[in-house]
Amino acid sequence: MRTIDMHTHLPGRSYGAGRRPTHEFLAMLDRAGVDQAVVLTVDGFFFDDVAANNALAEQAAESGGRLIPFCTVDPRGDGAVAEVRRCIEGLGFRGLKFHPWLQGFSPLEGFMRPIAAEAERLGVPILFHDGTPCYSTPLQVAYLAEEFPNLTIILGHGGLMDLWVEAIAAVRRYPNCHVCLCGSAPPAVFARMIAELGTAKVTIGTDAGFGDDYSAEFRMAQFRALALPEADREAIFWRNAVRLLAIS
Amino acid sequence: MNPGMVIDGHVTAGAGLYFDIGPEQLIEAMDRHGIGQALLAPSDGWLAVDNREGNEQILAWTRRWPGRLLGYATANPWYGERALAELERALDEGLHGIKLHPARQGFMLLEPIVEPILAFAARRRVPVYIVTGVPVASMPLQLAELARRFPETPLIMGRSGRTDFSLDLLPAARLAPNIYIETAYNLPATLGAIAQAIGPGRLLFASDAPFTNLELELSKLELIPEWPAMREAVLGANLARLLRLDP
Repeated sequence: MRTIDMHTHLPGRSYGAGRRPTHEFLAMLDRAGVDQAVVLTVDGFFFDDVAANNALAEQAAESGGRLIPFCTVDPRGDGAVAEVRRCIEGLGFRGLKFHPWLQGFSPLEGFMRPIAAEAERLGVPILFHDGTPCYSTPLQVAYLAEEFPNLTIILGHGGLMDLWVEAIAAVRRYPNCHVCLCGSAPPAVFARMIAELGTAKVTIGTDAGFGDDYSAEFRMAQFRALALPEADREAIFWRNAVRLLAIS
Repeated sequence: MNPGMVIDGHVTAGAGLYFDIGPEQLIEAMDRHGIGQALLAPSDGWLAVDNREGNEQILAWTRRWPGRLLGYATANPWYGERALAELERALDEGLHGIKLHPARQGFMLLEPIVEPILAFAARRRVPVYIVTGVPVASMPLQLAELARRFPETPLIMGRSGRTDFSLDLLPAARLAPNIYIETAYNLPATLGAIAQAIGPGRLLFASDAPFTNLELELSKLELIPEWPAMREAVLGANLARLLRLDP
């Protein structure tokens, strides 16, 4: 079955991984049976956001359409909105990614508003790290969905181990809040989330490129082992992703 | 209640894990600072496991100082039906509200076990004071989500999400008109901003004495912008309305 991984990270100098040649990253996705992947930065959370976006654009260009980049920006910076526009309109990025606690801000802070408004105007989703107090809880992230009803917000992890119940509440509360099942919560939790939420706003991700190389294979195997009707499986493995990313 | 009477929305007495607080010193402090009534809350073991023991002691103190001490009842939501029965009993006996403390009582605010208690509070028309600010267990936006599910239940955001959720306080209050903010742990500029954003009708004087300095908890209020216009509401009238105390 076609498989789109909604949450991977391009390895960089953060966490000591080092930049990987594109073909190696694609080989890792091959081993996991992933056809296409949303690719996010790690370095951009800590270092030069523009350089990190350029690196993503370069490697996506080498991937034959398999890597679909999301940009990040320093949300406090004066150039944040312009950099979002450059990435989306100039470089063909399909969304934005923020990791509030690593980037040191709360999604509730005022400077997120013009960025969210720009994403809403451009019609691209914002994927957030979520599941971690005190700046990345599902409801903090989803508050942007309350304020920008035409903006698509994706909870990038579904609350992780501690806040998946809150992630369910956020996805239920806001029609424009989606969830990518991804991260450390065990598959029984993911199955429970699908049972509670249905599949219309659910996608899957592996966090590949962040941490253990085996995570892509391991987590995809977990998703494949979920007992789901075929239509639900298709929805979360690729159909919903195609719609969110506006790809063919 | 006399018009203009000062009512303190949250004080503590009793033997807790780290403090042993006699109610006499509380009454003395209330006398010294012109506080007419105070809502006494259970803490520690009374919250976690010995719910009935705590409720009984608080009832005994409210009876010893009638007209001065009011009280919160508690029950650990994990007790299920037994929790509801204990709350029913304690309110029937004369307590005035419910206090919950998710971290002490071992639940996360959005877990379904708390919902019967919020529905019960709406039926009994009593406010629920919930300690917030504990990561995972109890955060302001979780309280707002709960408040939206139970719009008939007044919820007091205990501790205002301090320490790490200061930024969440106003968004949470804006999401749910049945959330009330207490003055403890907020300073005058913040209290002024809260009053401006959601109106002074949802701001309640609560000192959290004796952990705080009661004198400063009162005097800081004088520094709130436009304090005279909201003084009577914040110091007592808002809470009297919530508790349906006789005028």
